[in-house]
Amino acid sequence: MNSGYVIAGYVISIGTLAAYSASLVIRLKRARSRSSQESER
Amino acid sequence: MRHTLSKLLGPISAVLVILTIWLGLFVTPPDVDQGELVRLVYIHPALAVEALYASVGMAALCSALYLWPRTRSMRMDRLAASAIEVGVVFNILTLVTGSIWGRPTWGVWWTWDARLTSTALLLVLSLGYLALRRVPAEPHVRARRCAIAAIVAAVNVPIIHFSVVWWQTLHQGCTAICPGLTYKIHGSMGWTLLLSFVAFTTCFAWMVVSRYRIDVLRDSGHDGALDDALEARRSEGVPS
Repeated sequence: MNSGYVIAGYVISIGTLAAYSASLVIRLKRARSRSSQESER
Repeated sequence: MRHTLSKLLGPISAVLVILTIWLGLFVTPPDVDQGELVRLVYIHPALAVEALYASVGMAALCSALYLWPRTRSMRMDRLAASAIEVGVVFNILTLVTGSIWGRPTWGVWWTWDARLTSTALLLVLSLGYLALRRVPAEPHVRARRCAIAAIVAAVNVPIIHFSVVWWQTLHQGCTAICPGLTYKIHGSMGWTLLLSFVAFTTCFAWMVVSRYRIDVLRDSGHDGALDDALEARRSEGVPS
């Protein structure tokens, strides 16, 4: 019964960290492309 | 060299976190008292350490360096902001994993215990810091305001740390490293717990570096746009 709590804890934690990491990668790529566009202008 | 190291930080942290999960879920044995629930101990304390000490400690240090005239730099402001934003994610996960562990152990999802309440207060203060950053102001005015807010938030960290000593709390006292630096957890359980601290610290460091870079690139874009606008305005004023 308790293993359900364990699985929930791991899924929520690792899922959230993975989602936040992915958002950082996307934001970083966008910022890089915007910055290179600015420098080209 | 520095760039290569920061590039490696992401893959290294991913490998270490996966290794922690594998050891925590499949290799370590269940605890005599806690049973399977002990597996949550391989993530919850490490998340809390990043949320409290790494995030707020780093933000407070960078903010103090910003307020000190000799070390004042927008880098410090950006680093503090990055540490707080990443810390909010870790703080939410600390509260959620603690709550998931507390339900079968204590019988409640939440209790107004000193440790839990002070940690929740830190989350509110961190969210307040992030809200303050969104208030329109001159960059240095905003940086000064936020630096003061980060230092005020940091006052809560020793309260959280000693809350289990100062008050009667449901939350247990020291779990792993106790006064006198004695390590109370041994064998595969001890190694997995230690690895979890290393894994989540690496993960936190990679996130802060990435978040900081986003701010640097965005601000350099803003500065460039501002320079263009000033140049255009100057050329308008030149008589033909």
